[in-house]
Formats: sequence, structure tokens, C-alpha cells
Amino acid sequence: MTTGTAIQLKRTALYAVHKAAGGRMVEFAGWEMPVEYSGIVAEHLAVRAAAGLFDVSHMGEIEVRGRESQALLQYVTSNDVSRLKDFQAQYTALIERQGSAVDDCVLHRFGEGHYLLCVNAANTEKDFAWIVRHNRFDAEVRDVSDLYSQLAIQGPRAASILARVTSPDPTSLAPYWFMRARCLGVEGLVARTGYTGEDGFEFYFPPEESERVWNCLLEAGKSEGIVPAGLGARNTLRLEAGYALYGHELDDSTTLLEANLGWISKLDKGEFLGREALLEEKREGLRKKLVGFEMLDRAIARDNYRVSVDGREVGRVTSGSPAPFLKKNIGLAYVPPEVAGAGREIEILIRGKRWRARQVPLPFYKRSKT
Amino acid sequence: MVPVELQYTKDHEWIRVDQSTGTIGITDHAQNELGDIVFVELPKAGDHVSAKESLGSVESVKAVSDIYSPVSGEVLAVNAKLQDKPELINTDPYGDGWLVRVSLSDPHEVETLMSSEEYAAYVQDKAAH
Repeated sequence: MTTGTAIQLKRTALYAVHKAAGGRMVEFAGWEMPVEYSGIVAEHLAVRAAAGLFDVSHMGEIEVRGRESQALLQYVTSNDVSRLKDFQAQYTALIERQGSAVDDCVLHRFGEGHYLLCVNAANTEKDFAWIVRHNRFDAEVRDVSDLYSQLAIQGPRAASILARVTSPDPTSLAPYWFMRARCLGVEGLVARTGYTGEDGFEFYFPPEESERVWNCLLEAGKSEGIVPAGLGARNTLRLEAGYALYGHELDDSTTLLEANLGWISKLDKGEFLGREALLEEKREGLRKKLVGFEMLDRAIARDNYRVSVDGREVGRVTSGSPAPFLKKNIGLAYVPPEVAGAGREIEILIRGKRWRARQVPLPFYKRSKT
Repeated sequence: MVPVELQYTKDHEWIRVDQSTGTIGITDHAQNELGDIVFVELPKAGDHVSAKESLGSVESVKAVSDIYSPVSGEVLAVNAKLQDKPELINTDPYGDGWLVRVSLSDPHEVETLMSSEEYAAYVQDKAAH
């Protein structure tokens, strides 16, 4: 936190707005981003109870166009692209031959021969190069990250706030569908997607309009309790919702099956990178499994802490944090399959001492449908 | 906010010296950097603490931070309120958010600490880099 860095950090179009709003800026994935404004707990609870506005313009966007763009995407991603209808989106992963994720991402289909991938900021260049490398198809791949700002408006009031300033009415969207829309007069894409475990939307639009859109959305949602929310709350919200974060639950030594992402691994869709490895792992059995746990004592598990059973080290915590809404200390960890199981106890090594934790079903938090 | 009557460390702890005892806490700058504090691990009364060594830890939602003792001595009291209300460190870092009270085994150690002016300059200097 105190070391100077020679690398020039990237800034979103909203950098000055975040600073002025009292955002605490930190380095994240090569970007200078707000980690919190009023505080992680307050922002987290606002998203569960009302709404939060997140600047996620650091996320990358990769466009795939052309006659064989579906074939290219079928080959480099794990989910089944052929199931997508026009203006539908799907959670998927770019996949390595050994079954691990290059990245996890959301794929949007505009129509025949036109797709847009939303990818993790830290992985944008790697993902782009990866897709290009496997592009033996009649398809054109473009990194269009600079063309978009992206705001996430999340929470139970997100729909009514956004509907007031957007046309056509985005509340007609089902989860994981998107449309072209005008929000505050700005043409962009509105998708009913998010990373918080709440209902919510993501708006992709030209960066030039960022400040006005940000300020007007906060103004439009003021009476319903919207607050600006930072990456700190985004992380605790996604952890409560049990969502994987690349670099934590996902990396090149972990397969999709181990990460509980079998549901986006469509082994029957035909040939794709990683299919053989996943089929083999399915036959042979998993080497490790992602589990959720909650601390039985007051201690807090953190990323990379050691996990043991009966004093024997069996794995590592991949994400650990207090959960502001659940008011528990929770975490995700990889353990051998024979150790995994909701209700079974594990120990977390915290500053030289073993603390008790109990495995619980995932997700930790699921919103009640209204 | 840097009270003038206290002494400070480079790790952002403060100590209020009253004859042979000292009350220790973390600074407003430290609590602000940490954010919402949710858990505190402290020694017990009677434990010995050494200058510049960890006497416990403070955890916010996003991070855990060691607390380094400004002085050596024996723990006389710990702030029991923090068990249930660790957020007192955020709301009143120099008052109700105090951590421990110790008897000083070497009063000269206090002379090596920073004054309020020195600490304020130190924080400002760090922010500039």
C-alpha cells in the first residue's frame, strides 16, 4: 500500500468522479479503482436492501464477428454457444486444453455472426491473444474494451431506478438477456446480469458520457437508497453469492469441474478445447473440490490460509472474508473430494493457530424471489 | 486528526503516557485506511508485550493488520468493549476505541516515538508518494 510503482495504472473515465466522491482508490488488475466510498459494510448492505452503482469499466470487451464466429466460440469456450438466442447472454469460460479456465466471462449474442464477450480486466489481453491464436475460422476478433464504459446497477431497487431513465423498459428483460437501449439519452447495451447475487443490470456505453450517466443514475435512485459501491463490496457480495473470482477460485491449475463449474461445461456440445481433459477427469474423479465454509469461532479466514483436517494440511482458502449481510465469517477453499461435504468440519490456520470451520452448502446467500 | 498529547509509531499506533502506564490504540489514519473494523485480537491482562513486536491484530472487512506495541511492559487492562463493538475503533480511535493499557518497563522507549507534528508530517509524506 505504500510502495511506489513504475507501472502506469489505467483509469476509467470516472476516476475524477470517484476521487471527488471520497472513493479510496487502489490498484486492481492494472487499474486504479475505488475499493470503497462510505465503507464496504454500508455499501454491501445497500446493495442487498436497495441498490448500488458500481463502475466496472475496467472489465474488458472482446467482439467476435463473422460467418464462423459461433464455431470459433464453441471451440474456445466451455458453455454451449448454440443455445444462445439473439440478445441472450451466457456465463461461460475460455478454456485451456487441460480443462482449466483462461478466464470466466459473459458471452452476449447479437445475432448470427456477432458476439460480445465481457472478460476480467486483468485477463483482457491474454484472452484476446488466446482467441486469436485459436482462430482458424472465418471470424474477426477485436478488443473493443476502449469503446465501452460499464456500470453495474445492482440490488432489489435497480430495476425500478433504471426503468425511470431507460427506454425501452429494461424490466421486461429476463435474467441473462440484454437489449439496445437509451439510458439518460445515451445509446448502449443494457443486460440483466451482475455479480452480486441480487437482481441487477449492467450498462455498456460510450466512455464520453460516463460522468453524466453516473451522476444522473445516482440522482435518479437517490430516493430509493442507491449508493456508489466499490470493488470491496463487489467482492464481499460475490463471495456471499458463491461466485468464483478469477485468480482466486479459478487459475491454470484448477479445472472447471473442480471449481463447481460443471454446469457451464457442456461436454456433449461437440469438440472444444479442454473437452478431453474434462471427460477424463469425470472418468477418473476430481483431484480437489471447491467447498464453502463458515467459521465456528470468531476468527476470520483470509485468502491463501491453510486448511487442515485433524491437523493434516489438505488445502488452501481461495477467498475468505467477513460476510456483511450474513454476519458470519465465510470462505471458499479447495479440499480433496474425500474431505468435502456440507456439515463436515475443517480447520483454518490463522496466525499460527487452528480455528474450527464447518463446510456449508453453496451459495452462502440466495436472494428470496419476490 | 492527530491529538497533540499522544506519541506515535510509524506503524500508526498511538500511546497516551500517564506516569508509568501507557494506553495504546491505532490512529485515525490507520482506522480510515483499514475501513470497517470487525474483529480485534488482543493479549490478556498479565501478558508481556515488547516494543515493536505484535501485540495483537485488528481486522477490517478487507484486511488483517498487526498491531505493534509502541513500548515494552505488562498488560494491565484490555478494552473488553471491543469484543462486541470493534467498530469503536472506527468511530473513536483515540477514545473508546483504545486497545490495551500497559505498565511501562522502560520509560525511555517513549522518547523514540514521534510527536503529533512528526506523525502528521509522516502521514502526509507517505500520502504524497
